[in-house]
Amino acid sequence: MFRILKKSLSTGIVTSRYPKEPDQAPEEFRGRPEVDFEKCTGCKVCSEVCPSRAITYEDDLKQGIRNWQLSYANCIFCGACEEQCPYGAITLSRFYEMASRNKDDLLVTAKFQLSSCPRCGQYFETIREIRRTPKEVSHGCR
Amino acid sequence: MDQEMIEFQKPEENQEVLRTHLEELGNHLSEKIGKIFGRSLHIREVDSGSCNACEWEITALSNPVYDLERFGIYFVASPRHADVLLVTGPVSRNLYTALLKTYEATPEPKLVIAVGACACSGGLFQKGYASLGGVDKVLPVDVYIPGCPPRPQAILQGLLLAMDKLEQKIRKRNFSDLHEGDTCHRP
Repeated sequence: MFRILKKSLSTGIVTSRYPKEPDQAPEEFRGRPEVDFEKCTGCKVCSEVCPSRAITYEDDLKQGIRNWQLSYANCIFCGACEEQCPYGAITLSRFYEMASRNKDDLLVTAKFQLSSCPRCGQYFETIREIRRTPKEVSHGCR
Repeated sequence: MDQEMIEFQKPEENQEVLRTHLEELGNHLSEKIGKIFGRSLHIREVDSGSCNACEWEITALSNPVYDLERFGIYFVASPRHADVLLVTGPVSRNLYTALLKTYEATPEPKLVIAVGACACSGGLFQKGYASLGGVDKVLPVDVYIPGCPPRPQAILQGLLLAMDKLEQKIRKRNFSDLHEGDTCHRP
């Protein structure tokens, strides 16, 4: 019994002072995915590998706009987008305090200008992506 | 009160006055909320088809390290004693009725907090035959806590956000790349 008392006394206070002092997550922690839009080209690889459809895109072929969207509400923080992104634009940060009153606040949206195919005239890929890896015509015209 | 409101809208020079006014209003509001909930919150944890990872993190909240009870937050054994429903899981078909009955048994005023990716939006399961795809398809949700599972600190932050003791740290972000012009690229 004295051993138990001695042990519990020598342990001291273990309670974290969390909301008053920030508690940083460990180094390997996978938290909120941060997107660097200077590197991102809108190539939609991330939305293809995302297992929980947190990253989605929709092409507006009439106006030539790609609407890209990331929802932290769907994200399971697996890191597949970080691994697969060809430009290293997505990194999973250590930020985890994501509680929100509104589902809208959990969104990251982006709009990319699409480029049209010189042969068939249809919008097929973002201008940014074509600048990085030149493609002459759309998939259907190849 | 009306005169104060008129003062808010008029001058842009004395913004500090405005700020202090707003702070006073905010303090008043938080006092009111403190009175309503009596500075204490009683939680009923509802599992609606979760994988138990979120439950482990919620259990960790009552250990000596996170010690939830220092904020006056307690877990209770019946929804009739609770102020808050802490819901985990994507609401499976079997537990849908159980969740609804728990919600109906909770006295007003009540809050619903969705913990984890599944509860926020269906997560990995999305909407299918066996899962309804998130708590907000069934009940009005007040606070979303994303994470798979969220850290105990993240759940704590969500609970304190629901009690208006902390502020929200996340906002919607937009990015637009439409200024580059509509020119067709020909290599």
